[in-house]
Amino acid sequence: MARFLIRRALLLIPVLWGAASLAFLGLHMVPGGIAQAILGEHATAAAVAKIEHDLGLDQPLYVQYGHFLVNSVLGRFGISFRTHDPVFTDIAAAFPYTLQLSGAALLLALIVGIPAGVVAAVRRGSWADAAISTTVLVGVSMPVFWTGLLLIILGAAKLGIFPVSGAMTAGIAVAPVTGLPILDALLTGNGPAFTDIALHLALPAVTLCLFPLAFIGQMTRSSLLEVLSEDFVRTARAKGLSERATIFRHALRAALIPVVTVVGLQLGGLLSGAILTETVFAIPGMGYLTVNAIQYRDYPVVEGVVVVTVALFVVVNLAVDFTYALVDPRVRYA
Amino acid sequence: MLKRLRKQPAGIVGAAILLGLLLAVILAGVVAPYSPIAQDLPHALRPPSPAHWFGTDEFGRDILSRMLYGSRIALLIGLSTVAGSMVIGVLAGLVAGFYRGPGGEAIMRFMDILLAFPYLLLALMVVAVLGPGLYKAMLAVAILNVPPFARLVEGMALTLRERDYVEAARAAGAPGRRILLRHLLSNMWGPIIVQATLSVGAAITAAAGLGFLGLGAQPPTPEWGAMLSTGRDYMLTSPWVATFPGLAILVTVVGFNLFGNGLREALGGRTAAGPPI
Repeated sequence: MARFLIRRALLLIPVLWGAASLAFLGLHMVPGGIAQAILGEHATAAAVAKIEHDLGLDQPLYVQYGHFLVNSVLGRFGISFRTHDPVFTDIAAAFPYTLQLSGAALLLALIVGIPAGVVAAVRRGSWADAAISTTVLVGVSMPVFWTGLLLIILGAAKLGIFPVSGAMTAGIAVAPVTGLPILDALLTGNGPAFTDIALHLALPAVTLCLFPLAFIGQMTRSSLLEVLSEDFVRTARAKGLSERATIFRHALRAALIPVVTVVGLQLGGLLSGAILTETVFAIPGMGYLTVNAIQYRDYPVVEGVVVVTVALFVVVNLAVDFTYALVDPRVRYA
Repeated sequence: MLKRLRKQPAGIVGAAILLGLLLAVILAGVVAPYSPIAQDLPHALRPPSPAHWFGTDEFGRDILSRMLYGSRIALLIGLSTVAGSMVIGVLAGLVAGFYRGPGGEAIMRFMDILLAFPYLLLALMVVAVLGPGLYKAMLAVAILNVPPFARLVEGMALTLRERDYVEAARAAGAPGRRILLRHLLSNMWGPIIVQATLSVGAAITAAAGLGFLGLGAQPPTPEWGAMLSTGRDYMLTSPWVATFPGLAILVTVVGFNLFGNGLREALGGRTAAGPPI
């Protein structure tokens, strides 16, 4: 198992290096150069030269690339043009909100998706199956930003229960423990803050969960249908086990193995969806940070966010591979 | 394949939706009651009525007319970006899967790097480099869709290159390019077309997402995502401004997904790509 994990981890290094290099080269290919892009079309040559000197852009490309690689490893992405804070500080402040949102959405998707998939498989061909399949189709086809807007109308404007935007009401403070606001509110026993954050989180999490929920539900359904026709399930039924015990104790365990892969595949989608969801609900997470950085041509932030997000993405995928190998030994020896 | 597709009710529904989209694209200039960009400020933010079936936006523009013209942009984005991704991805996959070697290995590792980016982040990076705009967003979306085609074709090429008929062609002295095009590619079209159909819906959603973020089509272009973006400011007072363009995206993507899944079933489920039904 350790050898499998080490081999997979080593394979990630070239991918990470390649992705970081692509980000570096891409941003250095900005038409007219980075300094010109920051200052605009009508900038004077002297102003461009000054910015290039200040940012080290007048050095040879290979020197800049070397600095970039070393600084990326150390987490030093420079200073944001917009906030004048170190980029790492901005990312560290935004990341917990994205993690909180993605985690809540994934949890919702699993809690609803797996039982829905089980019902659809067990009652194959029934109205419940048809309803779940239709929901899945709509779930994967609905643009996440539109879902968010509809939920704002329904949940915030019509019902008046949920806040329209933001991660928590201004003035509410949570003592930091883990860095995740909702978890910290819970751990410190701060009831009012927990309720406030949960209410702010509800609509964005529902918005973001639809897509993974649809995939998880569909994968659970098809995987369970396949497993239900296996010999060991027939044996379980033949020895007189109840249908409930057969499904939950035997079939579902085996059927959930491919679901782990689907969860892994959904993580990229979750991060992409989080960019749009955070924009709709004005949550100050990584997506919000990225979109603002692009709009303000804040290149150090764009570079930092790309490197950190890709690194997180591949590490999470490694964790999924590890989980997969843990639940299905065949993977380790493939 | 068409015969088998006719037995797929979901595929037929998808085909009907796509036919409706095609009609909207062709007849937009004839059936749209107003110009998509003509402003009529005294009638701004009017709710749906017999004069404006889907209401008007903040500049008094007719939302139905903008949606009909927007269907042209959506289809242009979907078809052209996927066609571009398909050509590059298929070529890359064929070379990597058939010839293998260091070149093929390099191509597939590059695809791995592209796949290491979360979907929208890669598009955002391309837009960060090139700047916002409809055609730049289309280029970004096209780049996103190359790796899935390359992976699909590489996998099929790796299998097909070991088949007896390919061995026979090789033994008969057929040049590599002829084997690639005549024996390999001709046996891959089914799954490639399914992948392409399913990718069109995803491409339309991704481009609309960039438009929504203000990084795709710019005003006053009647692009559905950009329309949703401006509608966001009036969600609580004039919800129709954002509701109808979103519905147009949903129906179009459902159409492509149903049609793509119908095709996949008609082909006997020979491709695993695409969203579930």
